[in-house]
Amino acid sequence: MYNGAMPASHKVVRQTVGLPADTARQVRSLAKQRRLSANRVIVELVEEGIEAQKRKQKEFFELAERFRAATDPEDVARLGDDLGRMVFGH
Amino acid sequence: MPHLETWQKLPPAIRQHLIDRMRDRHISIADLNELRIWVESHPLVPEGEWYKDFASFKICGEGPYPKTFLLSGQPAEGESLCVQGGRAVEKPTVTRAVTVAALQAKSGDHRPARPIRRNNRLAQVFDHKLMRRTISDRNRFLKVAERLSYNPFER
Repeated sequence: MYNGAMPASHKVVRQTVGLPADTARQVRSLAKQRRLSANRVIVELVEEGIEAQKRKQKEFFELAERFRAATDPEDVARLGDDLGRMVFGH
Repeated sequence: MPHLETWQKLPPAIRQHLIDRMRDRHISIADLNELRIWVESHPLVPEGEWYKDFASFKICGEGPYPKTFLLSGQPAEGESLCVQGGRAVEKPTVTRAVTVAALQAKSGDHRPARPIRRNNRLAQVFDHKLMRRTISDRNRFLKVAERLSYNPFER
């Protein structure tokens, strides 16, 4: 039971999430390989996904700053292309 | 409706133009990041001209190609988009403007549309009921207007 002393990060929220059939199959397969519950695998994947998003965002801001600060035309072209790829996907 | 093309598939001239525009310091990097997040959602875009507002700039495109950045305040042509569940649909505020313009054209009234205030009852109904719908739902706006006896041309 949550008694108020437990850190907020340990609080568990039950939530129903629909997964595409193929993703659900991969989750079950991963869980079996690693001898973990499907729930645990999903939690790890979501946490890793959130971290990856944060890293990507940080990289984006650093690249954008470098692009704006660049003065050499070659650097501008290269960094601009990298930024374009990051913004518009590749 | 096509998906937005990826960077590598854009014509070189468009890529160069977008690079040049992204150097403009009036375009905020935080807003560019919002654009990146939007593009990541693989949005569907209209076949014709469209634009999406990111506060400090608008991205304008035609079909699957993003074409240019306009600074805020610069008028854009085409359908306005906003993101809901990865699909590109129009922004309700702009929808109202487009719809009023469409109604005016239909009725032969070419006066500028009366601005719709946020606290206007019709605007609220329109926001709540139609914000998830597309530009083809202009007629729904007309029906709501009729039900509320609202005249969009009234001064």
